[in-house]
Amino acid sequence: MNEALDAVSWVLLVIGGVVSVVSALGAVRLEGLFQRMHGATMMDTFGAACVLAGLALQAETFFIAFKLLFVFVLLALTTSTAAHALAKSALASGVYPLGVDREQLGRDLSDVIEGRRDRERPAEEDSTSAT
Amino acid sequence: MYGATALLLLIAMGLAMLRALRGPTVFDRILAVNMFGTATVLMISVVGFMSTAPDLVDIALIYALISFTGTIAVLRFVEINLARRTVEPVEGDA
Repeated sequence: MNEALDAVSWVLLVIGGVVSVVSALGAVRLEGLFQRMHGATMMDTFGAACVLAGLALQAETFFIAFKLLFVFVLLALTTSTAAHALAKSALASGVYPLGVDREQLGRDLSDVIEGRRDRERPAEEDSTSAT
Repeated sequence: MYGATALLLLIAMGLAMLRALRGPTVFDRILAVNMFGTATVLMISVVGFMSTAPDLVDIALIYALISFTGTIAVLRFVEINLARRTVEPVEGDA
């Protein structure tokens, strides 16, 4: 039983390390900020979960395993908040996702910011009536 | 086996550093530093278990909180400077 737990925890640890390296490779090699964020997120979720679960199986007391679980919950909360803030301020300062029509995205974003719905869009109604 | 995980995490940290040095925009650098922080949290936990001092998990917890606060602080700083136009807005897709 103990050997089985050890084997499971070692497999989890190695999977976590490999996922971290793959995620860092994605952050280095992918094109564009948002694609890189997609790569980097993998380490925050799956990599951290695997490494911390592998460590928790090796913990001697229940309290240490609980602390590892707490670290994971904290990481899940903070990294998602940080990613949201990063993407928001990157968009606000003019970094656009690749392959996106900038003018359309700008119109959509200003609609969202000003709380307009799709139907009531005065700028487009003006342009259609003018043509 | 802890050593293998620690080595893989070190490689991941080195790659994150590479992105932080190369990143064309300031947001790429912030992303890389954030990744580096996550890898450091995992690294501290692994090293704690490797040296049979699992209480290092407490330090990993504190480090996660500090890294998050640092990321948000730098992002606010960049946003405020952009709003005041002391920094040029980013041009280009990258």
